[in-house]
Amino acid sequence: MEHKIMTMDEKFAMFQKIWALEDAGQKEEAQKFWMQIPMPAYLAKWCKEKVGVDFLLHNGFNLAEANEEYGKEWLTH
Amino acid sequence: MKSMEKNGLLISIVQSVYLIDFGRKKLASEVSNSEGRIALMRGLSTALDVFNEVHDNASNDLEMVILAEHAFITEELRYSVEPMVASSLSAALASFDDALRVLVTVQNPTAYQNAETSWPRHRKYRHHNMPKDAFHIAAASHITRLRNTLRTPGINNTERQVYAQRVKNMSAAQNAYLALQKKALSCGGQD
Repeated sequence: MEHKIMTMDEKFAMFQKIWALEDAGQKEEAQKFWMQIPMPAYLAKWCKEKVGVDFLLHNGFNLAEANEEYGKEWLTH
Repeated sequence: MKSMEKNGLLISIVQSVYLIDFGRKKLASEVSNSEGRIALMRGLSTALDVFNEVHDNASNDLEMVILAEHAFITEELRYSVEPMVASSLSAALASFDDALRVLVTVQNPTAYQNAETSWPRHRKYRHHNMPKDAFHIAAASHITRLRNTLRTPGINNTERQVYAQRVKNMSAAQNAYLALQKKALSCGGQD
């Protein structure tokens, strides 16, 4: 799936879905929506530096904001 | 901590940081503030769960204690407006980087025994007779920082609980680290 950039309002709408699922005990389903929300670029960089690239890639985080800020090759450089 | 559990906790740490970050951005950008406040409170509530879970695993995963603090401080630094606060948070990040390095060394008895010989025996440089090294320095400074924050007027009850839990986590981490030091220094030099 191609991850996309979202507006603040789109993110908030996604969070509302996530919270409804979490409150209903559907944590796995909630996680699928979590992974669609772009991670802030600085936080993605933190993950790369402190946890490792594999953490970002294997969990399927949306890195669209980081890719835009740092360039598409940022994960491997 | 098992690899999958560790991965799950790291995901929770990252997600609670970005929910808090989103809440702050929304609060800064909107007129009514209600959506930002909702997101921020939800983020703080998730953060409390995260720090409780980190505490439960502190004795066998000190790296997680440090990474949780490092992630939250990284977010806090982005929103700190006072230069003194920003300076204190930057210092915290640097000291936690040092703590992560010595956490590797202490798990190698030969390396840590060699490092210990460079440490003065005076109690000023010791913590319960063990070297007051980068881990203890980072933890003790951060406990002071967190306690100062707890004295700040106007923080809400959930924020207060989060900071209080982080103090407990750092204390638990110091005790667990002390045990690692004792273990490293009592080994016969074998890895």
